[in-house]
Amino acid sequence: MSLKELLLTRYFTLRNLFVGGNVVLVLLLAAAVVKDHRREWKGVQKEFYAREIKRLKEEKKASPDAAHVDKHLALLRGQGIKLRQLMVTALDRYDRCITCHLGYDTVLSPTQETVYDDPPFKARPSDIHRSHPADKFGCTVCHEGQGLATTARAAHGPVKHWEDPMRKGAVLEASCAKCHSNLWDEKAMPFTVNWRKGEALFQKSGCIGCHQIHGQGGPISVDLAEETADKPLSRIDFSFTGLSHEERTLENWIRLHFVRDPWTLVPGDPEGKHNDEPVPPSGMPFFNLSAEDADALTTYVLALGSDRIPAEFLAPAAPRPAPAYRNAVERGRAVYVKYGCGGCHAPDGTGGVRNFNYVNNTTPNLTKVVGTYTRPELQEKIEKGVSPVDKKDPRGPTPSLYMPSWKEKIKGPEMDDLLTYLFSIAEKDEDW
Amino acid sequence: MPSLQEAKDKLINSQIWRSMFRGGTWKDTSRDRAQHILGNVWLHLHPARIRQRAVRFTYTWGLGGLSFGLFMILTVTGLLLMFYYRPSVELAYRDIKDLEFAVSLGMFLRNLHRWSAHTMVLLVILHMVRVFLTGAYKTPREFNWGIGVVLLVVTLFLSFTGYLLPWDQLALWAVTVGTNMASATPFAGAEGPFSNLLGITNANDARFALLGGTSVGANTLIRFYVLHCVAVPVVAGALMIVHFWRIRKDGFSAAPLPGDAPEKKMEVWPNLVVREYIGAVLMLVFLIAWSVLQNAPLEELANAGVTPNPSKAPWYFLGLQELLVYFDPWLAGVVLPGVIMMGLMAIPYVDPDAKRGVGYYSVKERPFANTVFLFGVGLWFVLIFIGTVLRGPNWSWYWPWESWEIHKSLPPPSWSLVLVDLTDKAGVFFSSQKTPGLRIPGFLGIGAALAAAGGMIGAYFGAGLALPKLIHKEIPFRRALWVTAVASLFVGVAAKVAHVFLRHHDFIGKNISQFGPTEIAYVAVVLFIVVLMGFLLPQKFLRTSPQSPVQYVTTMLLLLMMLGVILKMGARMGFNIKYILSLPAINLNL
Repeated sequence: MSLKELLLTRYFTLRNLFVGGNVVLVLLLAAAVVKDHRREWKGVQKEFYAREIKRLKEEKKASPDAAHVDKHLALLRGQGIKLRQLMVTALDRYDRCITCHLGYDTVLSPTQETVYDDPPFKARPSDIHRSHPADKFGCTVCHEGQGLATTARAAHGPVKHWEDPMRKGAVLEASCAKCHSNLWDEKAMPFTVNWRKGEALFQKSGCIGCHQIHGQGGPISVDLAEETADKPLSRIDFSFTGLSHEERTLENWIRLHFVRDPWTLVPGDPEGKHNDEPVPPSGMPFFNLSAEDADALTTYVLALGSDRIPAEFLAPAAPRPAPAYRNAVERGRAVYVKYGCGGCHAPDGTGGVRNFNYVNNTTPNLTKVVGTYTRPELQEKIEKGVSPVDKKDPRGPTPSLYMPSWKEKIKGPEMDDLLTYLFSIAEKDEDW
Repeated sequence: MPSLQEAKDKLINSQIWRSMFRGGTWKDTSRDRAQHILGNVWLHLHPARIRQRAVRFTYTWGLGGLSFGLFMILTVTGLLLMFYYRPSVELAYRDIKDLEFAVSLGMFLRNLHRWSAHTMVLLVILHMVRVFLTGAYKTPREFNWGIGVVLLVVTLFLSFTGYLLPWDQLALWAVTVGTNMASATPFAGAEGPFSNLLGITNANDARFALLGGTSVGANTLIRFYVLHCVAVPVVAGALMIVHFWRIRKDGFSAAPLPGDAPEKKMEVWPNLVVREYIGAVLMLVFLIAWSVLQNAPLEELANAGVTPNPSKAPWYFLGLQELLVYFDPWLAGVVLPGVIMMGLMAIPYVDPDAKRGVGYYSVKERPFANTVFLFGVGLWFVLIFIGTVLRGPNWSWYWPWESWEIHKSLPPPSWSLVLVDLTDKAGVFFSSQKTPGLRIPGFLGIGAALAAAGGMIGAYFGAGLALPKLIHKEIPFRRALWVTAVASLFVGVAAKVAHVFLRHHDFIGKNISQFGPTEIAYVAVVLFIVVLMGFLLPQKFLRTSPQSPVQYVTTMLLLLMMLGVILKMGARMGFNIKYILSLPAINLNL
């Protein structure tokens, strides 16, 4: 008997196929039902109820007449295992976080507090939670993450195809900016410490000299509010970051710019291997910030993002008071910061910021060169700018950094004050 | 106390039972079994008795029946999914998320629906291949073959309309790519040739009718939803009724072979029915296991502002998308699919011998038909494979082991053999964006260019049509194969030699910057395939065939067009030639 005959007449007979097929089909359907039935969150709820009931029973033993304990026990026993969600239609948020984080369920835990320290059972009331009740705000409008998801991984992220993983630690402050426009206000917004630190770093580093925020700023690089803060992940080239697919988030992309050399993140194509024209590497200086500073600056940039928040959620805020300056030099210094001159010429005007394929390699040191100009000459130089700057290797890429024309931006008294400031920091030429 | 048998008899003979089921107590006679089929509304599409050969699994592989089974699975799962899905751009994506995270068995249902749909597309194609190979399209089944071709297209359209419904990035861009082809329709599409003569814009063309707008949006979603859930299934159902009815009326193709003993027939109940049932059960086992193990994809929420690179159509259309590399959209997306459909439907009518090779796998009896058909199906799947697996960002060629993250240089610019410039009134030879080519101004230039392009295309089709019939002598096939192979290689080397002399000319040197072993191989392989398929095979088999002239010309035109695809693939891959003739003034590129 050949193998084929043996298989067909002994094993794969019609009867065997009929019986076997049906049995396997029923088993597989059962497997599908079982797989569907066994969901992660059910176990979490069971454990929570078990812990709570055990704790309450002990509490009852200690003080048998505590009526609230009986009431709470009855409440817990009446709940059953079920999906729980906060439906905030006004914000278009449907957050199932409380399916596992039962300590934040408004029915089960009106005080928003549990005795547990381990997630997902830990819950602590805070001033911010009190002023942002869960049934009005939900969870994800501040914490981000995937509110519809019911597995820990998909809900917290980062997971593939969900672009807003949870904001943890300092960067959570970025969410405040969705409704509050006064994060600068220490009295009204005592919690947004990191954001304020980030703003100070942002101004000191002169980011605005190259970047814009809603169109305001230098023209050299991208608009941080319109592009960066809401950038879809598919537009980001992560290939030089060394990040694993799990770590490829907008937050990490922004943060890397402050702790890693941007030339390694965006190396361009200086030799023109892949493009018709050579492309310089990123023009951004290497800031090499500490982890805390990088967090703060990331918070500041993320806070520039937009979210569709209905008007009734926007918090009223007092206007920011204008700072007072004592003299023209101080005012000029403020102009220098306002337009981000320090981004290229360094916060103290000493320059030295690298510029790929620039004939002098680094940006000019203002304290050295300002003295070689007369006041009208310097004004003209600032107004006209230098674009493009001279190349070192004529076949190489055009240097990323150049001096834009400031004629339309810095005018009148601002220009006067800036010139005064610049001459105040200029080294005096002894020959003069 | 009546025995079990008595109770059963009593039940079966009761008025209620008899009113529902025709026939009385089951006696397991031949008559009973026939009655079981004839008296059952669901089974009576079957004959009562069937030839023994027809129930052999390896004849049909159950492909037609399984395709119908998949249609039923898709109907049931689709119906259940409809309870949870709301076709609006605000809700659709969230509802799909809910299926995954909140609905009992929701993810399983969606997986089963998705995987069944892919399987159905594949099985319908394989069913067509089986029917061809067993000659089952021949008289009297020509019309039913045509219905089958339409059902194939309907199946693709059913799957395609469903693709949009999850409203994620995958859906949005696959449908954008797929529907863009409609805008290349000659006359009726805004980007197609001649449309500018009729005042067709992107707000009144064929694509607009499909999308309900100028881009994929809310109107498209509701349109595709209604098409997917109601309109197309109704059409598919109606056509299936005709398809099955004609099988029954035309008789099943597994007829007795010449020299067989007088045909033996067996009862359909239970012999065929149990086999159909087992087939359906095993397929369900496969699909359910797949659905338990793998989830259907769901990407980010659809965003018209973020184009993925590359954007790909659903896999069964990726062959057409790949053709866009070699042809203008109106050819790749409209004319070629149209020709393929019409060509498939024409097959039974150009086949001269209605009797030969019916009812069994007749490779030897029908060498020409089988070779050409399988070549076409193979080409279709090769194109799908290239489009699916080998195309990465910017539609560049990436081997499976190459990372899409390592950026590839842009390909060198493509060029046209002949360009007719109507605005400047000139004919241009060897024209690309970088090199101006050989420019002959005036009507003389236009005439020369048109004549050259027309001559090339005309010579290809003319020689292709005439040569197999002109050479009457029988060519010894094996020796001819060798001669063709050597000659093709020789032509490749000769082209290389010509290139050595011609490369100093600006337009040749810049457009074909290098001519190495790869280029020689391109010339040789393409030439060999075209001569073998386009000349040697027809010369051997069609020269003496009883085809009428119309049948012969139709066959050869279809064959030559298919080989034209190979020619243009070689020209583009080897030498960056995109067009034989480019006529930008009327969007006409060949």
